[in-house]
Amino acid sequence: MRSYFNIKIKGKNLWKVCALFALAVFLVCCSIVISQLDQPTTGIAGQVLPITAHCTVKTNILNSPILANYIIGFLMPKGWNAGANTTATYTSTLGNGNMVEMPPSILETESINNGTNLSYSAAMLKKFGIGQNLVADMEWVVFRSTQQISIPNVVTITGEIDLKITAGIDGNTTIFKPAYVICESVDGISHFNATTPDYGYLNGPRLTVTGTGDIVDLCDPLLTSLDPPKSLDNDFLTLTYNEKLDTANKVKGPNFYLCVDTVLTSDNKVLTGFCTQSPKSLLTQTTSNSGLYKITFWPRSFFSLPAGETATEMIYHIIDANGNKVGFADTDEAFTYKFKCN
Amino acid sequence: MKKLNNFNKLNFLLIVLAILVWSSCKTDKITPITEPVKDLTGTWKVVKASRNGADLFSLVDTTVIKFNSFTIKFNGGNYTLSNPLPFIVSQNGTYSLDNPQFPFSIKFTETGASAPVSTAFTYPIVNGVRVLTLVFSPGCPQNSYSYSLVKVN
Repeated sequence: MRSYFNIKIKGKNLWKVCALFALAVFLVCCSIVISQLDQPTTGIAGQVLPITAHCTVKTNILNSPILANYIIGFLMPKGWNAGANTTATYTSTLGNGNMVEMPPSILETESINNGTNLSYSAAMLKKFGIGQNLVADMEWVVFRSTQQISIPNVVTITGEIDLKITAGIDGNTTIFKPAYVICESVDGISHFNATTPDYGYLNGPRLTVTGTGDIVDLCDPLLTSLDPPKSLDNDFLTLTYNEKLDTANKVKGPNFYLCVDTVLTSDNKVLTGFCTQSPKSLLTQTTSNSGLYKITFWPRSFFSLPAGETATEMIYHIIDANGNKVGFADTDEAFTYKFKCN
Repeated sequence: MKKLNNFNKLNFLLIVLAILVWSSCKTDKITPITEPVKDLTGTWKVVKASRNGADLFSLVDTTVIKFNSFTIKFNGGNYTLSNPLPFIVSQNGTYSLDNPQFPFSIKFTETGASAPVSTAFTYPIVNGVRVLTLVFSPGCPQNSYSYSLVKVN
């Protein structure tokens, strides 16, 4: 389409370059990079896990200096209650200090701008999800500096944030992949543009914390997984069986069934008789050739529990139409699921 | 003389106009609108259900878990459950609203229970149909369920 305007600007390209340069100078605020992470890959439940995130911040601020809090978010298992079991401090070229857990009433900047008005923890969950983990029983724990820092223009700040997390207070053996976000309170986790975030993000290495309780693997594909990860017998429970992880070919499709061998109750009863091949226990494939088969059931009804009887644990296999069984780690050993909230 | 007649006609017309304007004005008495009492009386069935935001109708086999058979009947301060599912209560009992005109929560007391349980409550009209939406946690408190119910005809 031919333009109606025929305006000739002398040195047009030069002006375009200058305009872009001016925009870049006035609008880009901070570039934050987590340059190094000191995080152990193993730990013991109940003991302190020391983690240090080293970062570099390059500022380019209109109307500088700004007053802002340093903020760190870290992805942890919910069962650890890491918000109450972590101490955090920072050292930086602009000063040192302590950090405290961010109150949920403080809203994240980008979410204020787009009207969703989320806390920092909720905003990080929305933006970064559960990182490289597979089970959503995780939360973003957010700490901020107790003091606001005066951040000048065109300066490079280097510093470290030290976290001391009392790991695995639930006593479980937990396997997961932590993740880390560092930002400041003026920009939050917003973006200058699609390729320039105002925050630094880093996935940490796989971490195994050994405890005496259950094994909670949040980051590896599992033969069976349950949603919600924490539930009671009066919740709806969705069990997913991943056929592709049965490399030993212990069971053959297309019909797979939930075979509950034993149910334990709070009054120490052992209930049996829930291993059937019926429509009630049939798993259905999520989409064609996905290899993922699901069943959503109500345990109280599935186990025909009378009022006052509470299931605490179910021990189960997946079986096929011929009665072949597969269990934990693609063996004959049964899976165990405990009905609990913590 | 002719001028005077014209003057009288003009005056007459102005007077008639003034009478018309005056008579057309009257004070509107605005009667305050009274918000009706929210009446739940009747039998309600579930038309939409979610767990932690995920649609339960698409997850369950509805021939096994029969959402369309679950009903709750409100009548004279009592409620009665049929074909129970995970719900805020599992036994019949009594109910009350925190405010009969502008309710925000509904309180259920199971027969024989020592304490009532309350749940968030909305009561909008959607596509001309009154929808009762309840949010509750029948199992772990971190698992949130929402059921939307409509009256059974």
